[in-house]
Amino acid sequence: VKPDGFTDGSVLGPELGLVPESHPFRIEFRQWLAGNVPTEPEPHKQDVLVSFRRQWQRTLHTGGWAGPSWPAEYGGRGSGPLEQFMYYEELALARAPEIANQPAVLLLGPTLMVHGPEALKERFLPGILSGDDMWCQGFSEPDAGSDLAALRTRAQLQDGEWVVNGQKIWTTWAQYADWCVVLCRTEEGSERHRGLSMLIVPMDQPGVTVRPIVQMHGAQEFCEVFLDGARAEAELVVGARGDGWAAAMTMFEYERADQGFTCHARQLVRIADIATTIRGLRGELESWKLDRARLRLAELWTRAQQLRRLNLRAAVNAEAGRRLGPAGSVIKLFWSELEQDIAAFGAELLGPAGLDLAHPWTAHYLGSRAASIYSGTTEIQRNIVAERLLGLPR
Amino acid sequence: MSFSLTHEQEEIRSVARQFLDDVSSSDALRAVESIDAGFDPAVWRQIVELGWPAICIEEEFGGLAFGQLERTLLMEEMGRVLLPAPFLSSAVLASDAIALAGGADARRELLPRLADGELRAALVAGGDLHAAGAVVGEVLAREADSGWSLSGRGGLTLDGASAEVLVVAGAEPTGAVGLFLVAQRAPGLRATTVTLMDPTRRLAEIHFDGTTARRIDEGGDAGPAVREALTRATVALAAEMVGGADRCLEMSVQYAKERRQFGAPIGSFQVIKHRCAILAVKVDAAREAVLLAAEILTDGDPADAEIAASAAKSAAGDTFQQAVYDAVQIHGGIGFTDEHDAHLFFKRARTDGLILGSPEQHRHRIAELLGV
Repeated sequence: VKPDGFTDGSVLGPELGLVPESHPFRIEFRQWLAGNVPTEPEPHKQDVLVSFRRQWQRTLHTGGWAGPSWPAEYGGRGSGPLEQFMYYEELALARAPEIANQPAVLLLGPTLMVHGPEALKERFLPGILSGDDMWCQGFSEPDAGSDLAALRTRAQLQDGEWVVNGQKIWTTWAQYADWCVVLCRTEEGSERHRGLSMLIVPMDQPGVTVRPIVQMHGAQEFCEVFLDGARAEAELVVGARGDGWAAAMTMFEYERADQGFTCHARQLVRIADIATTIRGLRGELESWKLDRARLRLAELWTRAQQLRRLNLRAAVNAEAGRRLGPAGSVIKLFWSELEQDIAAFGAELLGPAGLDLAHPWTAHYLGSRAASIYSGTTEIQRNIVAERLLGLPR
Repeated sequence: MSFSLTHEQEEIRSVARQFLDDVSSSDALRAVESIDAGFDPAVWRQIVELGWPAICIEEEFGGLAFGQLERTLLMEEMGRVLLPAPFLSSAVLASDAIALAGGADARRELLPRLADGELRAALVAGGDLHAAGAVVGEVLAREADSGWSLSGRGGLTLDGASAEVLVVAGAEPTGAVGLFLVAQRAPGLRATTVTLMDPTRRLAEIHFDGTTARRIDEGGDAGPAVREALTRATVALAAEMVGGADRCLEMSVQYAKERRQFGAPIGSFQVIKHRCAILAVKVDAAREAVLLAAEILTDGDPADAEIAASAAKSAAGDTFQQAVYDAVQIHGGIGFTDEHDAHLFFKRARTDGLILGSPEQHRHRIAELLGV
């Protein structure tokens, strides 16, 4: 028995040979984090929180640690998937805040790098990574959620400018964004996934109205975005005009692949916190409650280790240049369920104190219910696994 | 790392799959039901010729000296066809106990015979179903002028009645654990076959009453080494269970593609589709837990071995159990019949779930190891 095990170094679980605790990359980052992670807790008030996270992104950027996967020419480190895997583990262990521009750094930036054009890369990539420009992603619409190709937002070129009309929803951080990538129909007479384009629309203009949506845990992370004759320069098209679906698919693939490197470590830190809580409750809880808690903890720890392994496999495959494919859906399903179960367990251990939304575990518990909805719902992911991995008929 | 197998590992797996498909038909599984020993001797001879019992034994003892990972691959293949064979009892549990806890003489004498299949052994350790947690159940060892003798209940032992010799962990009066060898017909040994619903496994209740035994460890305390053998066997069995679960998934998916109702394959309906997808995720993740444990046994930190083995066994146990429930359900009426193979997997999942510890037992151990 490790007497005081499951604290500090052993939070991650058994040592994995490809990404050892003593890896020079880890040590370098760990030392940098020790001197730079803010010591104060994340602020509660959302506006202050966003500035806090923006500041943290600037700190990372100044230290050269903002975008591990980004090539050096755009201000990143050019790290491969295995280094990214270690990067996110170290961030979690250091309990570092998230960065403000996370979706753009992880998804839009890399998509822009793949699809171009060159002029837009030069113009936008530096601001994405530094956090000087905040971005949001206008994909979903009231009648186009899981069925994204049903979207109805349209754009037309008038006098050398795009004029965009429609409505987006579930747009994360739209109220703080300077720019929005809008997936919309630009080709007259086209249908479904053909004839769409991915436009870049400035947020600060009369044609754009943002209405934040209050979520069940009180936060206002996402918004409705109304586009009424919103304008964008003609050349602000990611990838090819009329082929926005390809860019969107690239972005989804990054979304799933990226979870592959980021999603287990914060769960393991939460499990370690729960272990500390349970140890503190020894002698206080009735024995049946304690036994049940111990077994549940062991189960969640086991699943987190399985997730870590699935993620390492994804990183190894990415390192070898293999595409993630439907394995990304396996990870999303496994991860989202684990996140929700850990959150529920942590909140449940609080007893009556967990009924107060002001408790961080309670807010996390409520917030975790979104994990099986965003980035492709559980139902959609199961269809993908069933059809593409198992070959079941559509 | 096992994310991509070497050419040799792929070869081991594909040879195993082909061989096992040939010898483990549905009819063959049923034929074994009426054989007391629980396996077809002709098939076992072929398995010996393939060198499987020798896979993890060192070269100097006539073995092939592969690592735990290669054996894990074999076990998964055996699990896919519910191979009825004394592999887990003799080639894993007993062989590993001798290799890890046996003295130099015993290893030199016994391992070559186990490797070439001349000898089949069973391990009496860990009490009932090798799952008691402690290395020794209730077996006491005493030294007299004439040598060692064993007394007490050995517990439910895998292939305990059909093995030619028993390898026994017994407690000295000091509490130290010794490793002993007992011949199947030794006076004072009772090995009583227990009736199981699972026709692919055999268990015997073992009892010693002043049974003459030969001590085969180096003296001192063989407890930690026997525990290590049980840990390895736990991972091997977990691999077998993942194989069983994977086959259940495969059968269910195949059936869902063929069976038509309401004018469409039932696999096109989301209730069936999603049931399969949920299971596919579980099987994939359980296999990763097993591979992680196998790698740790091969070249990881020995301090991590036990917790990784418990993670593998609990994940594999939960997964196999879910897989057999799903297989019976998705196959509908036919899945509930004696004629279909689903019930054989169903019954094996129950036995395997208990051998070397249930998922709950392993979760209890994980919590202990995490210091909670």
